[in-house]
Amino acid sequence: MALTGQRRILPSTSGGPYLLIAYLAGTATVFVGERVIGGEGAGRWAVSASGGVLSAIACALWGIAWWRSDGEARRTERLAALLSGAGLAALGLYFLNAELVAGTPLKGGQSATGMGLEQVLAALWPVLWLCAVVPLVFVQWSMGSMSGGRGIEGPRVRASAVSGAMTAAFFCTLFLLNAAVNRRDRHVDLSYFRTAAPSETTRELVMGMDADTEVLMFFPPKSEVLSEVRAYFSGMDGLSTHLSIRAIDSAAAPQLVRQHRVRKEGTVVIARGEARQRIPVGTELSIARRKLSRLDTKFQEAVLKLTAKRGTTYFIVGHGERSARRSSDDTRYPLKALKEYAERSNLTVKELGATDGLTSAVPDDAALLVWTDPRLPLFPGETEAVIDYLERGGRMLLTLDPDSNPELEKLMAFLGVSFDPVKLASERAYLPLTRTPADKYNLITNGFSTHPAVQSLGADRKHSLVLFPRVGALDRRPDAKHKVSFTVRSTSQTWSDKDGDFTRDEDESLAVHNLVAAITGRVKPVAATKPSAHGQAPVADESPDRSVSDEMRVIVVADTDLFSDKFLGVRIGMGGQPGNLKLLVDGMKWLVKEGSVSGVTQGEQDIKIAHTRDEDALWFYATVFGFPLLIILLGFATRFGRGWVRE
Amino acid sequence: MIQCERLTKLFRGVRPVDDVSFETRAGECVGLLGLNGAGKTTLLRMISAVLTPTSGQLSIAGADVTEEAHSVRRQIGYLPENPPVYGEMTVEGFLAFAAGLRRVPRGRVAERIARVGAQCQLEGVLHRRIEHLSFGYRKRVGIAQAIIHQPALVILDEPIAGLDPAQIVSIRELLLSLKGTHTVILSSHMLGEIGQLCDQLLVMHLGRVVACGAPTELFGSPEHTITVVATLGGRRERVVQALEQLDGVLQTEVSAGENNTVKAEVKIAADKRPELSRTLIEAGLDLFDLQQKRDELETLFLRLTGEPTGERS
Amino acid sequence: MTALWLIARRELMAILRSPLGFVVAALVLAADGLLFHTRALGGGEKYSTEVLTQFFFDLSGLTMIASIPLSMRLLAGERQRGTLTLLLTSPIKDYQIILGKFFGALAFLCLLTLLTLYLPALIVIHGKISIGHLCAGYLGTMLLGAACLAIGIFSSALSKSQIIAAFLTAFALMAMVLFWLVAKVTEAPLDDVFMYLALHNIHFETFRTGKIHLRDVVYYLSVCGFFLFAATRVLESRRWR
Repeated sequence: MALTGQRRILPSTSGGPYLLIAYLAGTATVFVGERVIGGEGAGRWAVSASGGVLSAIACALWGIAWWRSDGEARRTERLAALLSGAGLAALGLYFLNAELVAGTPLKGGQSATGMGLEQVLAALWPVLWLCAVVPLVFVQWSMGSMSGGRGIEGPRVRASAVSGAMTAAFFCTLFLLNAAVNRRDRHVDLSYFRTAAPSETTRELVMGMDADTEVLMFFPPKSEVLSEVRAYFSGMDGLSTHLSIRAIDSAAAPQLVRQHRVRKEGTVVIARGEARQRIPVGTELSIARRKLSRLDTKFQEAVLKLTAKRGTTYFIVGHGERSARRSSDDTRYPLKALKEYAERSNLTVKELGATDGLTSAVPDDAALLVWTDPRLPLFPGETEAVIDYLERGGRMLLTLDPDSNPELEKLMAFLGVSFDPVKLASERAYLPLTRTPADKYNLITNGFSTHPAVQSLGADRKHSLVLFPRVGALDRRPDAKHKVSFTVRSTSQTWSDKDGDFTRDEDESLAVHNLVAAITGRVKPVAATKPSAHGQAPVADESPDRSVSDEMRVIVVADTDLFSDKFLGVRIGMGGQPGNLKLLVDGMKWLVKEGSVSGVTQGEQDIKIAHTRDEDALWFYATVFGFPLLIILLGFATRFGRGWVRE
Repeated sequence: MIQCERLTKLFRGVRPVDDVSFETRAGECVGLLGLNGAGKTTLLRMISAVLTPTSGQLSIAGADVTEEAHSVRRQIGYLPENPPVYGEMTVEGFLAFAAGLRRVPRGRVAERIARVGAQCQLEGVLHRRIEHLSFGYRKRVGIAQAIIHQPALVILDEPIAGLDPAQIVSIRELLLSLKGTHTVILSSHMLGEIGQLCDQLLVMHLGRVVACGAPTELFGSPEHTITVVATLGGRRERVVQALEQLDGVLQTEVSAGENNTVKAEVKIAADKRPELSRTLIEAGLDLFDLQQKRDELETLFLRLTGEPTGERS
Repeated sequence: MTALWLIARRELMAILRSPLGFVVAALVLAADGLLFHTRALGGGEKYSTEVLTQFFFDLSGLTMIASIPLSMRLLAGERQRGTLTLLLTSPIKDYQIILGKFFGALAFLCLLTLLTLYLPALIVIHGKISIGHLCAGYLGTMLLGAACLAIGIFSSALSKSQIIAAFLTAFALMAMVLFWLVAKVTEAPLDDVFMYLALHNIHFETFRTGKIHLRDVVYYLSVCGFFLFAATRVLESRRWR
């Protein structure tokens, strides 16, 4: 074919693709030598050097082609030679960097910005290498696809070189951006069971620490669970000089593992002196998640267990009380959560009945008496013992229930409260749990006073609602000797349903009823000091606020169900914390010395979803077949509908 | 309008366009003639700034296609051989989309659609899906998208290929209406169909321009011979007899036509055509039809390129 | 900018009007439903968080698969039909073509993803999951889908036929997902790089468990950015052929 153009387009002279393959193979060999073989042996040097030489030969051949050709080909070969040379220079930088890291012969000085020569070089050589080799590949690629050796389209070769350089530069920019973000990662956790943050109670607990406490997190260093746990504990930074927190790599510190008797990785150890508590969390994030969500509760428990006990909570037994477990002859809602709560609040929980000596006296280490929903009255002697205890500055939580109405005349007379076991019903403020008329007994109220026994509820009446399922009414006796305050009242739309027909009759008038009473009384002067003969409750004696415990405090609740396992965690409306739990926490804080009572923590458990096809057959078929079929039909309608109409 | 100098495209070792130079004026209609593979499409793709030239200068209305491709694209409308239409769109929707791509102000889109719709006789099918249209209609939609933004230069690659005669006539009319307001460059391998439309013809062969000039300059030269097909009523012997009387007839071939007519193929000098018709009529024959035979481009090329038939591939 | 949205809108409408769009949508929804019932809910009682996490895992896989047929037609299909010329001769930049097509396909993919909302709705009713967790999961799925579409557009720009584009995309996605396996057998510091480059492993894990990490958002956006950039370069190089 005759060339008629004036600008002659010369055939390419070099075997471009082969040189490129040789060049890349050489670089790959260097990589194998440095990264796969490695070490200081002769093998590494031999392999790396041969790879380098191979690349250098390819570069030199391009150089020769540049020198010997002319016109368009000369420019192209020059481009290839320069790019491959830059790639070699990048490899040179790599070796220089490797020498620096090894500490010989130069030591890279740290500059003022903290970016040493090493870091600059470590980032520079890959950037330079990419920016040289990617354009080189692009150039050779475009040449391979255009000519077959019969001509070079010069502008296109240059355009692909520019394109390659831009691509490499863009890649490097993105890579550096990612590296920077990775170093300063931020995240939000939107899942329901996210890792707990230290609650206010926990923070108070930490602030009040008076002994050196160590938190040791035994996790593999790269564990994601560790970062979660660390995030939790970082919320306690600087709260107390007594608390130190550190992560331990089990592999690196076997003596600590032995010392703290850590059996598995993924354990948090809280150590105080010789005593220690372990919280197993696990190392797999998917499994550890639920544990993490209860971490705050677990941590509180652990710290409280390490702290000396504040005293004992005695649950009075032997009178048909409601217990922690449901039994065949007692179908009332159990109170396991209440008992656990008392334990969590750093109180030893014991039972106290006639055989334990209740008929004579309440033990001296009693910090609190709890009497829940008795069916029978106290035995002779017991009433006197309880009254005597209270008169000495005792504390008591008494929960009654309209369904079981024992004769408690003497005790109630002492307290100055009367209990009307007729169930209260409401026309409006009730919770429809069963969708039957009986729901009217499930009163909800936010009628809290400003009494300290309902401190947090009273402070946030808007967002707090307490549920009283089947509640009776309390009232003050005219002859009350003590100060009786009603801390929770029903709404005004409440009546006592005397005939139990769920409807308000004429003799059942609407009124506000009292649901919870807080009773305070002076301590009898004779019994002002608690004997501490047994030494079982040393803390009580050393208690800084003696003045507070020099007072009798009793809370009487006209309902027991609200503290039962079924209703304690019930949330009503948009409020953050369950109202019933708040009522308990507030009450316990008032009854027992504050700070030793466990607060409201995030301790909710996830629900398991059981699924059977029989149950949800419709749902199954609808989702697997119905919906997709609908989409197909929709597609047919839009696609062919118009066509049919037109034709 | 188009200034093209030493334009060359190198592609996989061959030159589909090789050292092409030409120039056109605004408002002209330029025809690009050539056999398949002559480099017409490659040239048109370069003019429409789809393809970047390897070397040479090419500028459209003063803007260089390589350097200022973007402003070149504002001034052109291009119809490739296969109309670039989206089958799932309606004609109206597609034209609105094309108008939007070509920066037609939103307020004027409807007016433009109505106008090109009328120009390309698309009024009846504006709401039909393009995939349901015939090839002729699709071609017209293709032309409509190329002129919707009133470009200075309209580039049409084989606008009449694959159309039936009726469609060819209507498209020819459409192209005539574009002349004057737009500069049109179109390609074809059928000289007869576009000859009378164009002010200037470029004949391409193997990537080069082998002839250039007005149609009459190229093909209308007096000594140039053409083949004319005449459809006549009458007896065959009389036809042969009449033709024998005429001077300058190089070759005749008479055969029976349809409907008792006689078909005569006459090879004759181009300027002898009036004499031919006069002779036939004076001989008392009924002249139904007289037209030029259209399969001669190859021979023309051979003459223009001066190459023997066998070497072309 | 208007040209970009014009192309995006046309692309979305094209998918919505084509049988491909509906077939892909129906298949993905059917597969999603089936996996939800057999994998996420199947195998006895499970915590609702686990069910949701498993659901997002399946959804992400299906989204990746759906991105293949959705992206293959974007450029290769246009080139096959010859309609790319229309865009190439219009006064629009190459990146606008690429971005327009990307956003059009992404809009459909997001629509398709959001259509699956009726599946986790069951968990919302019966279990304890937060809306935030749902949002994080869907955000992650969409980011992953966007990254896959970008890879698909790049393959589509490279190849002449849709089938080859689809195979290329599938291969590229598989390779990028399997980087985490490569990471397990390489040594530092390359293992970190490979682990980070892996398309699904560490980056999607956080989203499906309800967390949004800036790191992962930046990663997916970077993948999108890089492949869209590369696709633009390829389209540009087509001006020479």
